[in-house]
Amino acid sequence: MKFEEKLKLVKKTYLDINPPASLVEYGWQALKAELETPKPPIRSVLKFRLFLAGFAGLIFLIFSFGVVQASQKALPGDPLYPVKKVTESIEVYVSGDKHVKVGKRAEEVIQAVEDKKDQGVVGETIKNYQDEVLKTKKDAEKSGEEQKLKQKLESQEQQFNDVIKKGSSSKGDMEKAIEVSKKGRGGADDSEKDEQKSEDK
Amino acid sequence: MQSSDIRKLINQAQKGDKDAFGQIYKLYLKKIYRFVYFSVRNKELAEDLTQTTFYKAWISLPKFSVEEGTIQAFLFTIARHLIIDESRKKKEISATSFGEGFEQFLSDDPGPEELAFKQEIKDFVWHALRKLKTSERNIIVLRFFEELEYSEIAQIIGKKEGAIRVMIHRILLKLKGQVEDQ
Repeated sequence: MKFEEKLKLVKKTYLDINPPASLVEYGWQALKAELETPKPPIRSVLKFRLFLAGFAGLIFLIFSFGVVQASQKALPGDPLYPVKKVTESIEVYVSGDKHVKVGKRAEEVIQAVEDKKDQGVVGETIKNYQDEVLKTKKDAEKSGEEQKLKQKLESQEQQFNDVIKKGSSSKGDMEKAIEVSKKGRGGADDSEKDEQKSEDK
Repeated sequence: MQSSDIRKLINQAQKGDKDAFGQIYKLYLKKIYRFVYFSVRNKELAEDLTQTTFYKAWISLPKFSVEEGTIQAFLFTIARHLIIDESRKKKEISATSFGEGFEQFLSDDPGPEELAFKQEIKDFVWHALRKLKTSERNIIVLRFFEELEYSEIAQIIGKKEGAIRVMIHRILLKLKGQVEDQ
C-alpha cells in the first residue's frame, strides 16, 4: 500500500471521530448557560489587582513619608537617626547644596540643648558638628565655596548666641559650638590641625 | 453553508447575538472535537477543551476580523493553544499510548476485510504518527485530514505561508521515511 493511500485510510479514521452525543445535543446549551453567567472579566481582575498594588504602594509611601518626617527631629542615639542621615544624603544629591549636612548638625546641637538632653547626647551633637564643619570646610576649599560656608557658619554662630541670650543653662556647650563655628571660618591650616586633633582623639 | 452566511453569523455574534454564535458552534463542533481528541486521546478532556475553545472564542470574538483570517482558523488556533497548554501540564503525552481509543470509531461488528483495514490503520498510526511531535501531527491533520488552506494553517501556527509549505514537506518526508521503514 502506497503512502498516500495509507494517509487516506488514516484520514477516514480521523473523520469518523465524532463528539459524544451528549456534547452534540447539550453542548451548546451548557456553553450558553456558562456565557450568560456573569463572571468578572479578566481585565476587571487585572484592574483590581493593579488597584490593590497601587493602594499598597500608596500606604507604603505614606508610611515612608511619616517615618522620614519623624526622623528629621531625631538626635544621635535615636532609632530614626540613621533614616535622617540617609535622607540627608539624598537631599544633598537632589539639591546640590553641599552645606545641608553642616546645617543639620548645628540644628541638632541647638535641639539637644533646648530639649535638655543629657550631656552624652549634647557632647555627641557638638562632636558631630565639629566633624561635619571640618569635612565641609575641606570640601569648600576644593570647590571654591569657602565664602558661602563662612556665611553659613556665621549664621549658625548667631543662632548659638541667640540660644545663650535666651538664658540656656548649657551656655558652656553653646560656647563650644561657637568655637567650632569660628574655627570653621578660619584658614585651611586650622582645619587641618583640628582634623589631626580629631583623629588623635 | 456559504461563506457569506458564515460572515453574517460572525457579524451577528460579534454584536452579542448568542444564538448566532450557537450556529457557529454547531457548525464547527465536530471539527474542533476531533482535532482535540486526536491530540489528547481522552474523551472527557477532549470535551472540556472543545467547550473551552468555544468559550474563549466567544470572549475574543470582538477582536476577530474576517479580513485577517477565517473563523475556522480562529477556532483551530484557540484549540491548538489549549492542546499545547494541556501537553505542557502533562509533559508530552506518552508516545506509546498514541492510537488508543481509535478502535471505538470503527464499526462494532467488523468483517474480515474491515479487520484487515483496521489493522492497517493501527499499524500506520502506531508506527508512523506516534513518532511525530504533537505540533507536527497537528499540521498533518490540518492539511490532509481537515483540508485547510496553507494560509489558514499559517494563521493557526503563526508562521508565514511559505514556512508552512516547507514544514509540511519536511514532515511528510519524515512520515514517509518512517512508513517505508516498516
